[in-house]
Amino acid sequence: MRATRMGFIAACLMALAAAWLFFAPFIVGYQPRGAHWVTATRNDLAVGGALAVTAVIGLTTAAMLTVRELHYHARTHGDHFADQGSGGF
Amino acid sequence: MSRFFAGILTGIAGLMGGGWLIAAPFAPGFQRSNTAWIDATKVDMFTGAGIMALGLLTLVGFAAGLVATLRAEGALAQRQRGHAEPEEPPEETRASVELQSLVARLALALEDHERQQDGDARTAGQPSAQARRAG
Repeated sequence: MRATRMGFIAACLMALAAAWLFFAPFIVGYQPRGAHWVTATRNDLAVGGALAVTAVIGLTTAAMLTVRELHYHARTHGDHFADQGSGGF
Repeated sequence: MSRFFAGILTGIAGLMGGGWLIAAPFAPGFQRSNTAWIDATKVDMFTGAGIMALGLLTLVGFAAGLVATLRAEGALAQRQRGHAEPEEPPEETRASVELQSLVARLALALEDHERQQDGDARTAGQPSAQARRAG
């Protein structure tokens, strides 16, 4: 299914964007080295970390449930669904 | 089906997180108003907008998958298409129609055959097939 595949790709990119946000204060340089974390850094670390974890958990759950569903269909309806490969995505 | 809900929740989290990132430079106050955007503000604004867009795509993608699955399972009504061509009957229906017509033709042929036999028997003075069956 094309729409669900698009959802998977978008969620992957979201996890990458969140990871970028997590490291941005140190890469861009608005967090001075050796100093206490500034407000922007604390915000980016918290939001970036939370979003990255959420996206990874959501993606993993969705992928695991998809695989489980394909297995179930393959067992109940023969090899037809298994032959379709990524039919569930 | 719960895989769709996992994706939808991820999309909602992305939308909310992205929205917060766009508002964050002004809410905690590390970006002063009426001054040029500092680096942290630029990063938050652009990353937030990107994450919001990706969250929306995730949400739409998984929601569309959920709707399609519900339609396929019959929980939602099929989408009506205007002036659609009538669908061909499925293979099973076509086969049963062919079988019915074959049986009807066989029955007709059998009836003709019996009638013919009755006519032959009457001319030869023997009991008809129907009379034999009744006796």
